[in-house]
Amino acid sequence: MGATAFYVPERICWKFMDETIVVVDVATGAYYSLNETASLVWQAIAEGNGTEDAVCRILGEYEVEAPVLREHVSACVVDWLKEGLICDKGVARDEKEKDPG
Amino acid sequence: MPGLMLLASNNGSGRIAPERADLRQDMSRDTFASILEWIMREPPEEEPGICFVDPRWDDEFAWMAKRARDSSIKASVLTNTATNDALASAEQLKGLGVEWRIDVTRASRGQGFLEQLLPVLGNDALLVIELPAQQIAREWLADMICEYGLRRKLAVALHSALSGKHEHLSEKDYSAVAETVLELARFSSRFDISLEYGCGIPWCMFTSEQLGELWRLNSEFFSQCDSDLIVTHDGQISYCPLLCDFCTKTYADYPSYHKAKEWFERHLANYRLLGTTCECISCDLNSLGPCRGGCLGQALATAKNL
Repeated sequence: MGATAFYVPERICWKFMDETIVVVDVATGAYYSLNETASLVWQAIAEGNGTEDAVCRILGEYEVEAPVLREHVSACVVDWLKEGLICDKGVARDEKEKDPG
Repeated sequence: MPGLMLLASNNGSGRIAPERADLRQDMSRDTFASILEWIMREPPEEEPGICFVDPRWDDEFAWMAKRARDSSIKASVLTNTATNDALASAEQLKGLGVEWRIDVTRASRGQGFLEQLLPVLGNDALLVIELPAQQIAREWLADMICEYGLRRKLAVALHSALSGKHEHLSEKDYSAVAETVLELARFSSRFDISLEYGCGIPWCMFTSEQLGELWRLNSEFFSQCDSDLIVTHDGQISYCPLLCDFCTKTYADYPSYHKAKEWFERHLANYRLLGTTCECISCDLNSLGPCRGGCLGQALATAKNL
């Protein structure tokens, strides 16, 4: 979960709605309404700051054990990767290198 | 009325953002004729229209209005009647069935000039008022409509999308503006005048009771965000003045107006999910129909990763 490990692909747009974030996959019409903590994680990824940035902010605002929080953040990231809401820069780079075109 | 809004040959004094100097450039007669033919290639079921926004009242405008009429396309103007030439143009075009939508909120020449112009236009004129407005006496509006035989409708604009600026009504102002609309509808109904509404407002601005009352007053509210496509002097088309930077095409890229409109609707459909209020994304009225989540330009103005 490095500082710039993930990025938001072009087909995903998002916006703040008060304290939370809504995310829309404009290619499929799937949408997601994130809660406050997930919104912090999303914002960190989307702004290229990495998840640790969100972990620090959440630890500052909520009473939660750091290891537990990191576990939840990791699970969240895995879900978003599966849904295609975010992409792993390393994987994207590997695929680009394989592509002869 | 499906159609195009012409943002060319603009007199530069009205709603269009003054910095958009490109909108003052003229469209050639050939391009205009080609666009009319393009609209009629797949004639819509409803009468198609072309709306001239704050036009210069010159011979080119008169030629275009007549040419549209000859092509079975209804011409209309949206104007703040900024120059005296509007009066001469009204005389010249009388009988052509051009609809004049007159923005009384921004009528820069004042009520005196309107009182000269409106008798000439009669039933060709429809008054437009922007809310929340500076103080415009509703009694004066009703007097004008009744005395000069104008359309017994008042078009209520709640956004200024046409200016190309993001001057959106804030969600926190919804309830106050909704009550203002209700009061205007109640007042207008006494003169058999009904309200129609501009684009960009979600259903939830009004309560169910208010929607019911508007319906009973013959001023039923419809939530819209599907204005005519806009076209500029060089044939560039877009969905709305607020979406020019987001997505612009050339009319000739599509075999007909109908196909272009279909493409824009399809392309933009999923962006509508973002909506303008916190509830839009999970609201059935937005995802299934009739609301459309308010103004798409407003929804996208604060969206990221576009």
